[in-house]
Amino acid sequence: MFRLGLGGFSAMSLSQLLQARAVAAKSSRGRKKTALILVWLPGGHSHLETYDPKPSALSDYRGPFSSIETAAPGMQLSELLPHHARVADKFTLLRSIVHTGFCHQQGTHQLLTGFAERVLRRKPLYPDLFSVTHRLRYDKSRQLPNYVGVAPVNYAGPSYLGNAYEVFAVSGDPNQDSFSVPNIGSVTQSAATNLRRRIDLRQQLDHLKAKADFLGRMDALDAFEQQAFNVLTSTQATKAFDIRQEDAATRERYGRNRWGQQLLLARRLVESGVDLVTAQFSGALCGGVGNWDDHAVNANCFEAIKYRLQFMDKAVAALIEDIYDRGLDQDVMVVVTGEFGRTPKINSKKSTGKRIGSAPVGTMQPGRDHWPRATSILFAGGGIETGQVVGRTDVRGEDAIERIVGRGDFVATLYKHLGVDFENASFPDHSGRPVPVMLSDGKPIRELSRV
Amino acid sequence: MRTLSIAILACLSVSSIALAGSKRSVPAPESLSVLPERIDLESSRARQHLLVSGKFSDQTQTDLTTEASYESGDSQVATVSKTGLVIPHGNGTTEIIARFRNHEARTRVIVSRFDEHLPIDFRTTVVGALSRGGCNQGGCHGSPKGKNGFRLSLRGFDPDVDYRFLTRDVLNRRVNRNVPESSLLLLKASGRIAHQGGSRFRRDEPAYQTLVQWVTEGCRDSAEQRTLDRLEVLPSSRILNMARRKQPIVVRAHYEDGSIQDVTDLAVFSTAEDESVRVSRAGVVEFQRTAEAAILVRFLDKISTVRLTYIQTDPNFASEDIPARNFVDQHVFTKQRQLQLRPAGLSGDAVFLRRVYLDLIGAIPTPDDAREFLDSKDPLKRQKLIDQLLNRDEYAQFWAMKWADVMRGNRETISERGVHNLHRYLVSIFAKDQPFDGVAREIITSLGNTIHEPAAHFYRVSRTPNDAAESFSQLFLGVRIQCAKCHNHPYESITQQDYYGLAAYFSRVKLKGKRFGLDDETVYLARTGEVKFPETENDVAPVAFGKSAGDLKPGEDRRVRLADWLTDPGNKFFPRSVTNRIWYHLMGQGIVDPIDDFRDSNLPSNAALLDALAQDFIKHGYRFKPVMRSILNSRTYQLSAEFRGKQSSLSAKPDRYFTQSIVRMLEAEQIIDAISSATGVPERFPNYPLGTRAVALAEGAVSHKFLQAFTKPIRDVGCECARETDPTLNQVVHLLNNPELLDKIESPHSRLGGWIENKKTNTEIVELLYLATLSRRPTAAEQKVAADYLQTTADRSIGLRDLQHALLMSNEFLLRH
Repeated sequence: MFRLGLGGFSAMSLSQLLQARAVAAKSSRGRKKTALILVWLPGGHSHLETYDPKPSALSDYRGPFSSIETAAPGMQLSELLPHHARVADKFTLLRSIVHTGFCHQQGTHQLLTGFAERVLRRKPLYPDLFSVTHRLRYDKSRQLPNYVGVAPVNYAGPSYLGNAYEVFAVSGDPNQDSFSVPNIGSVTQSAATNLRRRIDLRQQLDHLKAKADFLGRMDALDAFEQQAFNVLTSTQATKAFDIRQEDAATRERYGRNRWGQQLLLARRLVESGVDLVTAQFSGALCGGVGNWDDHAVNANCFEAIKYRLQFMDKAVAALIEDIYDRGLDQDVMVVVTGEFGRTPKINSKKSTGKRIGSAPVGTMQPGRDHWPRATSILFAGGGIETGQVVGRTDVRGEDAIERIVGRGDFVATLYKHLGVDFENASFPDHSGRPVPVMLSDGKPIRELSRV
Repeated sequence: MRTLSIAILACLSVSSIALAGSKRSVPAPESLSVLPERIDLESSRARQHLLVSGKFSDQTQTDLTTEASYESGDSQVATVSKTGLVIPHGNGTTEIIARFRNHEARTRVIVSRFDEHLPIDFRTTVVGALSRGGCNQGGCHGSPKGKNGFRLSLRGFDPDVDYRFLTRDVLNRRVNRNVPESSLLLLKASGRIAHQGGSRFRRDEPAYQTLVQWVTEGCRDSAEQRTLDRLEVLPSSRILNMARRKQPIVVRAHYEDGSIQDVTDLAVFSTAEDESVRVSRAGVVEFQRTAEAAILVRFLDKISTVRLTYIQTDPNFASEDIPARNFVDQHVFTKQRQLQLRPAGLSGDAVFLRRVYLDLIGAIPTPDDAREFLDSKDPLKRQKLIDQLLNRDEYAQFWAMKWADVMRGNRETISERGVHNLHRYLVSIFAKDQPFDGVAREIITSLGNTIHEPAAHFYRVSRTPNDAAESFSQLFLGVRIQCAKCHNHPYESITQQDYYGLAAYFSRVKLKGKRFGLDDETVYLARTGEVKFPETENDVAPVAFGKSAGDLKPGEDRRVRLADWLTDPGNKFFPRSVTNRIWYHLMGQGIVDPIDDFRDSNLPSNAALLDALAQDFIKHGYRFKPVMRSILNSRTYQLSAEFRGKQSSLSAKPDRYFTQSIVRMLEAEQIIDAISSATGVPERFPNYPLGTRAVALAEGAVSHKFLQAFTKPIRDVGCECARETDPTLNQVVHLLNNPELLDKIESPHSRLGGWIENKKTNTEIVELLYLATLSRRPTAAEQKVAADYLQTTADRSIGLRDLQHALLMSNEFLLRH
């Protein structure tokens, strides 16, 4: 339930929806149609093994991998990211984001809502930036859901905006031949005919008089019936999700695995007009632990990340290149991050089980823990200035020492790209109190703007 | 004692009282009155707006301030403008006479300290003027970050901050003492240079002139702090005569030093959004049609409400003489008659049957149950059905679900075992119809391990004194106090004192035993521990909305005092809040609505009804079932959802007065259970035995797409609002294409499958489908539509399944009506 601005709260009505859209339209500056793809590395990616290598640190920090030069002069990356290195002129790295969310939940909540969430809870107390944007851009004439998770981020959520602004979750593996998306254009021609018949019969029989409904609920049901039918039967929707329409070379370029095809699907979706896509990289390609949370008990942090980066590197680099090749780079922004970096000082504990990237039970192996004091984030597309490194951490990668950026700045940067008036927009929470979409003094990261 | 008064440059007094009177002729009143009854003007700047009213034989009143003529007993002391503004001219006492036709009324004016020049008072008058302009609203400079570098405290809550930002910030460039009107503050506020917030003041209005005068006088802070004691709002609640739709409001601030200031030109007026009534910025209320309205008046940190009623008499309105079945009907019908509303007719048996099943046990009747009720000739069958349903197990499950929804028990807060344990506790409360005052006491004073003392889950969920105070207030009092955590509630009379006073009752509640992997905790009381007031860091004594806990012995459990206060029969919050909740669940709309939002500006639509229900509740020992019987057996509950004919064109808007049954979407659990019941195929919920009904699930966050789409609350917030009431696209997609739903329709094991198998005729099956799905028999016309349709399909089983799905998608099925 929501209402914009002040006042108590009430159920969303169609007129309020329209009003909300008007606000969103007014607030989007310049570019009409921007989109955002978030590649999410749940558990937290080690910055030292990815975007912020520390070749001159001592071995108990540095780890076994060396760093490589890239297409962007002066930018070094971990040797595990050769594909990234090739396209480094097409992205910018931020190495100095700092927040205080020490667990996965709070880390995710802080980074994606901009609020100082400190309490462990599954869903954030405040709506994340995707839900907010989804809400502001909501348009019921669309034939595609406007916020799609392939797969969705674990701990994100719309909170008091209401479930209607929840992500449209695609949980299947787009690399499988059997991949299909429930409800989206999934109804076959003959099933659609049957459904149409049933809807017509319903309309013929449904006599409950409109005048009994002075709160207007039947209107809403009837209004959604046609839209629902469209979503179920639309060829546009079917096409957007039908990854098999991509040629073999393109599919190969992203990597014929779940992550690669997730990002290819993300690209298809934004091309079809979806504005918000989250792509969480978890599951089997992470190695045995299923995510990026490389405590020594979970995994040998070096073996595990080496395993998964081969898939991630190829997929991300392919997406970035593709975005630029197709001329989407002004409108579509790609962001790659997890909820935090990892402890630079390597520790050692006994493994809890043998799996990919982890030694047999009881074997001592290296690990890195949670590290919100320094996280590295990749930005590409979105009309930003690329080939740069913004911010710097100290020689061990422990603390940001130059151009420290807060969670609010990160969220403001994405809001700016999406045309959300983050300084003024607010929504009432469950108690009716109007809460701004951002409470902190976040400022868009200025280095990303093209001069 | 010292007095400051508002600066109004006399002839600029644009009090829109002038706008209030239309020149239409007014019928002759029986008497005339003038307010205030005594006027003290304690400086040359002081002014007072008069309010002249005519009273009629039917007790209605009309404003005559602009029509009246005025005479001052001594124009050396004071005079009155045509618009009714009293202006002092010298020390002394005199009398003002207001005349209208052959009536007159008098008021006394005492002018003192006329020769003293008193500067504009920053903390009252300037801050008030900024509020009047809306400068310090939450969306403007009152936001925590301010706007464009300029910040004010929210609604003038902290004058120190305001003074600093106005006079010291950015090198003092906001004010120009030499050329006051060129101050950035005033240029922006009057829209003379670009201002994102637009023009907030006309240059000729008193609040603006106040600001100019303050800058002219050198932007001085108040020499001493005056505390606002209360607001006096004139007139007090009244019924307006239909001759005039407008009523000006006059506001006087009473300070603790005894001084009085007319703040009509500084106060902020508002009313709940409603097209029936508006209030202008100047405080003139204007009705568009017959209505009751609460007008909220705010000045500095005080809020007051005045309730006005306007009735456009319809000479043709004849209220039918509908017999009241009990006190519920008496109060509902009395209010309706007053507002010239008529109730809908009584609902038919089938509608009543379905409604009372859904409202009491969350399910629809089986075809057999439906047929039995519909065919019964017993004149008392409705009453008997109510009693029978109240004794069903499903009643306890369904009502436990409603309370579990707002108690925030989920796996994260109280663990999976805790969720089940709390659920069993709630079910047993409703099954036994335990007195709810005792239940509240048990929860508030709970101690011990939550596995043995499920009531103590309350403290596992609300872990801090603040959190416990918020939950307590919302759950048992129906009052949302969250806003008052950081500042006095901007729209309400709830203060920070109220917030921390309540939190202080919980200051010693502690938890232990939460360790990784363990799923229970123990609630205990610490020997010490106080809640601190945020700014002063002083200890706060436990006070429940103005009622102190009194002297506490060392080590005494303060919460017992809170429970005593709550369950005292004189408590004005608790019984009204609980009965309002019951009323809401049965009637679809609270008497106070939203139900957890009792506040001055959200008055009950029928206060007498709410009080009577509360009394009924107390009289029956705080048990739910007796008050439910009163509601369910009333004619009001049993009205049709459909209003045949038309309400009077001069009536109030009917939507808050229960003139007809309220149509609403079934809840997530009700829909899925009703689909299972209609088709005869049970739904499967992960980790529950097959056949478990959705309303009997112990937890909110069940992994079930249909329930999620229909917003079954995951129980992470303490308000009813988590259960969304308006349909969404996702829901309709599920109704059209949910695979489990389609399977149920296709299943050979469904009721329909059985009927086809048993070779029942089409007519019989259509009747059975209607009974199972819509709890009624089809009309002849519907039988015909169905028969015609069955002609068009290749196989009758296809056609009948289409019919089943069509009925499941119908408004009649999805809505409670």
